Amino acid sequence: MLFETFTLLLDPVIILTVFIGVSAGLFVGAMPGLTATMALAVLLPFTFTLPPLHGLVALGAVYMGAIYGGSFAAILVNTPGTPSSIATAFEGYPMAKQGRALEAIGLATVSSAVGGLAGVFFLLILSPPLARLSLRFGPAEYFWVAILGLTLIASLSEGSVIKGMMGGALGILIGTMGVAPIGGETRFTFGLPVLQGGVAMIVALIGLFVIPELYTIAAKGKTALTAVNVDSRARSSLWQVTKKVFSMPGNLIRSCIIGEIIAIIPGAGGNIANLVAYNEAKRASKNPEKFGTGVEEGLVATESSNNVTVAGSMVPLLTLGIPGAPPDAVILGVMLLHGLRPGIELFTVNAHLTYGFILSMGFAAIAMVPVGLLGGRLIYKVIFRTPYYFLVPTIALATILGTYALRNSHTDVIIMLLLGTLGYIFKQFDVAPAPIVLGLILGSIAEMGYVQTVLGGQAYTYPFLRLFVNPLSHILIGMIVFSAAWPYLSTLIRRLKNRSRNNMEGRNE
Amino acid sequence: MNREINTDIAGGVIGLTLTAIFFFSLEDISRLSIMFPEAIITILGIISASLVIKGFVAPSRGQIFNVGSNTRWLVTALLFFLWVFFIPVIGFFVSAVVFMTTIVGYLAQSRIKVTLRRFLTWLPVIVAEVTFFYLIFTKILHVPLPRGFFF
Repeated sequence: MLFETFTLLLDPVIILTVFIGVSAGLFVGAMPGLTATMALAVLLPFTFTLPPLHGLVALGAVYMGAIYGGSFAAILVNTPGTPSSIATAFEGYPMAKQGRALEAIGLATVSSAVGGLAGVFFLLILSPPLARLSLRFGPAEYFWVAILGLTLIASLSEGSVIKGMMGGALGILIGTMGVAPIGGETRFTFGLPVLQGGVAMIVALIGLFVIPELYTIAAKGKTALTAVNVDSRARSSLWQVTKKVFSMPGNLIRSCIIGEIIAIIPGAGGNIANLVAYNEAKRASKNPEKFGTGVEEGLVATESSNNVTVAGSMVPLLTLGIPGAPPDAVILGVMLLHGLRPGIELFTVNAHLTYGFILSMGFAAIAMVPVGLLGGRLIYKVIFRTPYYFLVPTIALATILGTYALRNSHTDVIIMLLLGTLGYIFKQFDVAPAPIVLGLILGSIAEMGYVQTVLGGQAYTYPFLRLFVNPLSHILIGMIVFSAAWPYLSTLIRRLKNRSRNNMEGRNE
Repeated sequence: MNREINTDIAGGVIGLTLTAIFFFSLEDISRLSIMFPEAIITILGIISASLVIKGFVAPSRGQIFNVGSNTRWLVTALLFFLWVFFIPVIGFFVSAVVFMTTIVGYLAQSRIKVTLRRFLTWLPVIVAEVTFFYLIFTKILHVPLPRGFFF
């Protein structure tokens, strides 16, 4: 069956579709503010005229290319092109500042390709048991998964876990503006009818990530981009970067597994996977204190994990019809348009189509290497040859257009700009934008889980105790406690180690 | 503003202010719609208060707004807001050309001497850039961009 489907994909039109899709996704993903969801939504009308397989192949390729493309902006201008590349900026940008931009892009390319292939492998091999596991997640587990995501990002916040948590809580509150998902009434509109629709996640995300960066570039003036020392001679060959990526198999395997586990949890996609994989790479590293200074392990972890989620998030989509990540919702729409209903039928009646779509994502992962390495240099040149005073309004133009095009709403553009300006001010007080954005993304998942669990716990004296009943919830709570305590525990362990070392030295003297 | 401040107390006070804003915006609506935001407001209040306490016990100090020129980011922000405000008035295309040219001219001052000749060199580049985006969005992606007095 798989071999037959594979031969179907060798059709030149399908291969061309893959390359065009990856290139379009790469271009959109690399532009700060333009997300994978936006790329898919914008390109959706073009697939209506295509046969179902070609349409799905095109969208799969765009998705893969866009998630990978996000790394370009993260590495070159310290602005994640997509939320899946938030952590890529933590290591990629410092590498670029050290004159290792091309090496960072090469590492991101190979890691993304490996991650993409791993996602396809996981989807093909582990689909049935993973689908069963995701079925076990009830509202309480979704609530705890959302809280776990927040504690992870809070512990990632440089300097202060408390400030990270504060940002997360603020993000959740911003996400609660507008119509309640359960109850249906409007909240926090502050008397403004335009806020009844709430704050769209992508609008807030664009504002919080792009606008503060533009203000920083504007404030720095002369030193904005010249601070990035680019050495075009420090170019690593494809073979060299491939060797580097595979020289850390533990990191690669761990990140791919993390990406897959998070991908099958509906609603949690590459935006969470990259942060969790980065955090775990940091914890497992022999030199965690060097993270943030251009460490290759961090970059490989984020880029492999986020591309795993492209195919990985299709597990709940193809089996249950639940989008694993926001871009999957667009793919679900296309499937339904072509009369394809998620479920067992997809793997039996429409098996060629389903497996063709899955395998084509593997093709897209491979296509990222030539497209990325050639296109990467072009994007690199465009960004660095553009004077900063042109870069700022150009990114602003793309940001304004991208925000407006989401819902054809001028209000969204105003909200984006306001949140971005507030984000810049919060940043001054060490409240980073990432926890706020994650709070916004996870807020609705947490709310649905919380309210549904409390409603289901009416038999209890305290209905919220229903959140603590299931064994899976206990595991998640354990992970949350460990994650929240880790920064303090690691500090304590380091102090104890230093003390014992000092004692040893004292004795030797 | 290059003076060091206690960022814990400052951050905590901002958090408490936001807690108060959201708390007093809670309307009298059904329990289902309000139970989650109420819980989060309480959590935000507790976290912010903890931050203030930490500010007294083990303070973190840091400089704020110490990156580059504050005037430059403030003027850029003001120009962004004016740009967005004028989009429905003079249309997307015209507002983009006008404000992009203004921002380029303003920011370029910190690096080079801005002359009329340079302006005349930049203008066609900006017009071409805006036209490119305008045509992609209106003709290919069929996004109806706001029109103003002109088009």
